[in-house]
Amino acid sequence: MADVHKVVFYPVGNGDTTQIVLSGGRRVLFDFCHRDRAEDTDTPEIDLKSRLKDELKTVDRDYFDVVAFTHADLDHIQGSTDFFELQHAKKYQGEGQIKIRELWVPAAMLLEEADKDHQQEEFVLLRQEARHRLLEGKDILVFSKPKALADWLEPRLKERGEAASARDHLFIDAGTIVPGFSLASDGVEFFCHSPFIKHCDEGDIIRNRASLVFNVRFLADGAYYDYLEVGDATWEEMEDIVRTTRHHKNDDRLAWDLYNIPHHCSYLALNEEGQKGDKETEPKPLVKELLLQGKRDAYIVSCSKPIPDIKESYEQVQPPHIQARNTYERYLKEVGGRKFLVTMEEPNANKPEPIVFEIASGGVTWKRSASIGAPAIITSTPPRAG
Amino acid sequence: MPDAYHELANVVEVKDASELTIPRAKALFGAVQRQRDYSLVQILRHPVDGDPTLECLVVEVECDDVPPKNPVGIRYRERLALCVPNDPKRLIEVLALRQDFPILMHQNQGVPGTPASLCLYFEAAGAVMRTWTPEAFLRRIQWWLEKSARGELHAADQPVEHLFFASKYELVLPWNLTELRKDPALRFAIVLRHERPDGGFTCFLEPTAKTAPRVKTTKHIELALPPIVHGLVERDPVTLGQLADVLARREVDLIGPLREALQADIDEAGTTASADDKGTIILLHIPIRRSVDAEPDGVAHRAFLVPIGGLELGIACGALFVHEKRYYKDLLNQQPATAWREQPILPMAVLTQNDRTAAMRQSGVTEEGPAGVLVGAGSLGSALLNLWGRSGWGRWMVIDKDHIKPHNLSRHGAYAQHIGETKATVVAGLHAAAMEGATEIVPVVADGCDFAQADVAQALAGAALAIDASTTLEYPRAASVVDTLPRHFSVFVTPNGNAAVLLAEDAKRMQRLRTLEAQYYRALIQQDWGRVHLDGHASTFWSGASCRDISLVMPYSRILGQASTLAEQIQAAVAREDALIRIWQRDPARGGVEVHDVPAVPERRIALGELDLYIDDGVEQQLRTLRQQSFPNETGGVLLGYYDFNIRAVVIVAGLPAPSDSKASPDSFERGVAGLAEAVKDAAKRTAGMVGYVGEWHSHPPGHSASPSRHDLVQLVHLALGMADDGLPAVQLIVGEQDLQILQGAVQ
Repeated sequence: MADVHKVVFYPVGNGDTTQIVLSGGRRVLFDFCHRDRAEDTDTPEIDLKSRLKDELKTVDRDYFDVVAFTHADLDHIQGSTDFFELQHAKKYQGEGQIKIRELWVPAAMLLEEADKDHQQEEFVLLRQEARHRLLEGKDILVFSKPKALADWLEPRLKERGEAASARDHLFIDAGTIVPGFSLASDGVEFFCHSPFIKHCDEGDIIRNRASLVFNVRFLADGAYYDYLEVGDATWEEMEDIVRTTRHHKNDDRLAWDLYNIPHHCSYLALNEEGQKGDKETEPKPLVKELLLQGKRDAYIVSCSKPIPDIKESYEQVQPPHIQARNTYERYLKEVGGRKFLVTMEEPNANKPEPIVFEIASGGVTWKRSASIGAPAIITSTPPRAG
Repeated sequence: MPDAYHELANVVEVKDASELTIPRAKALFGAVQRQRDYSLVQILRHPVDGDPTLECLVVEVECDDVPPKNPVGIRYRERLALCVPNDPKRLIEVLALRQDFPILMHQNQGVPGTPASLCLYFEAAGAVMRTWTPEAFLRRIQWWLEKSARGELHAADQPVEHLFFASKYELVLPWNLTELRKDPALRFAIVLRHERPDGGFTCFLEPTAKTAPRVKTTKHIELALPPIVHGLVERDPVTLGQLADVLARREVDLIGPLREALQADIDEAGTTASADDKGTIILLHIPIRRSVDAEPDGVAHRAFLVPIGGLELGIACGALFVHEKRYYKDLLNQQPATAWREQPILPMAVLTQNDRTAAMRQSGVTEEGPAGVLVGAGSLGSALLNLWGRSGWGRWMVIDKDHIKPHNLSRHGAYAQHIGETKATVVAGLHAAAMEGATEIVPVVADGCDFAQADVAQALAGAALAIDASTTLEYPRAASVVDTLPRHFSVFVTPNGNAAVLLAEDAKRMQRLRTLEAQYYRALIQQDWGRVHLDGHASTFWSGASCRDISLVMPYSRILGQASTLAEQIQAAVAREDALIRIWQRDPARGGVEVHDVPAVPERRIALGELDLYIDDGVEQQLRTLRQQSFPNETGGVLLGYYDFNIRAVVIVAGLPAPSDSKASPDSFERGVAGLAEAVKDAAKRTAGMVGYVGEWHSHPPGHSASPSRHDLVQLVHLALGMADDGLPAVQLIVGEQDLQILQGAVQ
C-alpha cells in the first residue's frame, strides 16, 4: 500500500499544536494549547480538546503514541493536564483522559524552579509527571542530560537501590536519532537538533533556549521528505543549530520540505532585538542559510494569529511580525517554494480549520479545506438572525 | 533556467483591465483578482484591430494538491491563457502556455507545437453554462490540474477518447477481432455503410474469406505497433507526414504498406476514378500493457481517415501514375514522392461491437447466468429473451413449435418479414441481429411437452434451468412428473395483463410446478387480492390468455412491463435455492404494483386407484386448524381441487370450512349447505374455472385416528354415486389426531 503520512497544524491562536499521523497509524503530538475560550463557538480558535478526541474516536483510540512538549510555556502546554491522563497521581486518571504512551520533554522541564508567583500550575504538574515517569523508568524520553538533572536523579536512584546509570537509556542527546521510530518500520525518524546540554549548564534556564527542535524525516514510497519542527527558538539558537549540524556534517538535516517556524513568526528568530526592520527583518547569516535550505515546493507554517499586510501590522510589538513574514516569504520564493501559511488564517480568519499536509509518493501537498462557498456555510453556524 | 512559454498569435496586449469589453472577461478578471491562488500576468485581445472577438487573461495558478514529484509533470505553478470568446454560448478555452506542459488525456485535439487546451468539462457547453460562475470556473481549473497530476481524472479503463473526441467518422470493429485476425483464411475489408447528412459516416471492418472475390471497398491498411504502457496518449497527428513520423519513432513503416495497399487490385490495364472512392483508412493496432515488464493485456485501436480517393493518394505517394484518366501502378518510380507528407488526415472514432462481457458490464449483470431452455417463444418469451440476450445473461435454447401469424405482431418482437416463420427461429434470429454471433440463442422447433423428441430431450438434458413461458397447463404439469428434468420456473401474465406470476421450483425440485400451481390457486381463493387477479378471462383462462387467441385484447406495453419485472426476478430467483411463488399485481390506473409472496410448502402423493392424489402441507395444516377450533365436536366441509387425466392426477387445493347450517357433535358431522354453492362458484371464478368440487372432508374427535367409520363408508358410497353423474370418482378425506386418510369412491 502507498505510504500516506499526515502533518496537521491546529489553529490555537499564538500557540502550538501539531500532530503527525503516520501511514501505519501511529500518532505523535507536538505541544498542546487549548484555549478555554475556544469552547465558545464564537471564537476563532479551535476547540482543541473536542477536536482531538473526535479524531481519536474515529480511529478507536484513547491514546497518543507520543506527546512531545517542546518546552513549558503556557502557549505550548495549556489545558494539557486535564486532557491527558497523568500517571503520577490518581486524580488525573479517569474516564475520558487521553493516555500518553511516551512522553518527550526537554530536560529543562524536569529542572526548572520557578518562584511561587510565576509558577504555573500546569507546568508543575507536567514536571511532576515527567519526574515520576523518569523515576519509574518507563513511558518517557528526556532530551539532554545536564549535570543538574543527574544531580537530582542519582540520589533518588540510590534510594531505590538502583545504579546511577539505570536511566541512561531514557536520555537522548542532540545530534542523534530518537529511538522507537525508524524509516524502515514507521516511515519516519526524528533527528534531535536541540536542546544542547550546554544550555542548561550555563545557569539560568530560559525555556525557549532549551526547547525541542527536530528534523522529522519521512519516507514515502522510496523518497525522503524533511519537516523542520521548531517550538520556540531565537536567532541565536537557530544559528547554533546550523553551526553544530554543519560541524557534525549532518547538513542534510537542515533541509526542509515543511518548516514550522519558531515562536509564532517572531522577528527575534531571525535577528536580534531592535533589528525588526521596516518592511523586512534581515536574517542573521546562518539563519539565512537555513532559510535557503528550503526545497522546491516547500511550505512554511506559522502557528500564530493572522498576519495581514496592513499598516498596523508593521507596528506590532508582540509576534507575529509582518516583517518576519515578509522575510520568510522572500526566501520561500527564492527556493521555489509554495506557500507561507498561518494557522489562524486558513481557510479564513473567522473560523480557521486545521492545516493538513499529506506526505505521499509525490511529495508534500497541502490538503486544502473543501469548505468554500455553500459547503462552508452549511458546516458553520451563521451569525444570529434578528 | 526560466520556463519557455508559447506566444499566442494575432493578439495585442491590453494595458488596462478597464479596456476589457466582453462581460465574461470582466467578470473573470474580477474573480482572478479575488482568488489568492491566481495572479494576473497579462491581458491580450484578438484580433489586433477592430472589435475583439476574444479577450484573453494570461494568469499563473497555484495548485496545492499537485504533488511536487508527480509523474505527469504538472507544476505547482502553471501559466495559463483563459481565452474568453465574445460569443456567450461558447466555453472559455484554457490553454497551458508552458512549452513543456505534458500531453495528457483530457486535452482537446490540437496541433503539435501549439499550447495544450484543457478539457475541463465532461458535459456539453449548454449544460456547463447553466451553472457557470467565474469563481467555480477558476476552481475547476485547479481541480483539473490537481486530478491530472495525481492521475485521478478518469477511471483508468474508461475509453476517454470517445468521451472527449467527437469525430464524424466512425470505424466499427467486430467483437471478436482478435480471434478473427488469427485465422489465416480470412482477410479484412472496410465497408462503408451509413453516410449521414452532416457528411459523417460509419464504416465496418469486416472479415471475408481470402478466396472470396474482391468487391470494391474502401482502401485500408492495418499496422501493428509494438506494445505501449497504458497511460498517456500522444497527440493526434494532423498530416500523413506527422503520422509517418510518429510511427517511425516506433520503428513502424507507414508508407511502404500504404503504397502496396494502394497498388493492390490494379492490373496492367489500369483503372479509372470512381465517385465511391472517398478515402483511405489507416488502422493501428496497439497492444497495451500495465507496466513495462507486463504482458500486453489488451489492444487499443486508432484509425485515421485520409479524406481523398485511394487513386489520388496513390499519386501523391508515388504508388500510381495517371495517363489519360487511367491510373496505373508506378513500379519504376524509385524517387520517393513527398507530396503525401502534407496530406491532412482526420482521426476516426474506433468502436467495437459488444461481446458478452461488454453486454454484461453495460447492463450491470455480474453473473453469467445458467444454461437455460425457454419453452415458449411467444409474446412474453420473446420479450424475456430480448432482455436477457442483450444483457449477456444465460446461454439459451428456445423451444416452440408455432409460427408467426399477422396478428402476433402487435405483441411480439417479430417483424412483418417474419410472418410464417417459426417463432423459435425468429427469436434466435433477432438475437443474432443484435449480437452478431457474440452470443447465440439456439432454436428448437418442436412441441416442448413431447419429451420423447430427441431435440427436446437433448435441450433439456443440457440445461440447468428451464423456464416455462408456454402459457399452457400441459407443459408445467408434464414436466413435474419427470424426475430427470432440470429445475423449472413457470411464468405467465394474467389475461388482462395486470398481473404477472412466477412459480419457481427449489433447486432440488422437492416442490415442483404442479404443487406450486395448486398453492397459487389456494392463495387466489383465500387472499383478498385473488378476487380480481384473473379478471378478464374469457371462461377458460389458460387458452384465453394465450396469443393463439386472435380476439385477445391486451396492449404490448403490459407484456413488456411484466416481462421486465420477470426478467430481473428470475435472475434473482435463480440465485436462491428455495422455491418461490410471487405475484405482481398492477393497478392500471396509476401504474402501482403490489407484490404478493405465497409461502411454498411441500406436497405429498397418495396413490388412489388409477390416479395419484397430491395434497400439500398447507391444505392439511388448514384442516387441522379447523378441526381443533371445533373441539370437542367434529367438523368438515367441501374439498376443492381439480383433475388432470393427462398426468393421471387429482390435486387438492383447499378444504372449505363447515357451512353455518352444519350439524356437529363429538361423534358425528353433517355438512350443511348454507352459502356453499356460492363459495364453490367463487373459487371457480377466482381461478378461471380451474378449481371445483372434488369431494368432502371431515374430522375425527380428539384422540381418534382417521380410520373411516361405518358412517364414513356410507357417506363415500353416496358421494361416489353423485360424482358418477360427472364421470368422476369421489374423494373423502378424514383428519384424525395424528393421521390423515383419503378414500376414493367410484362407481364401477
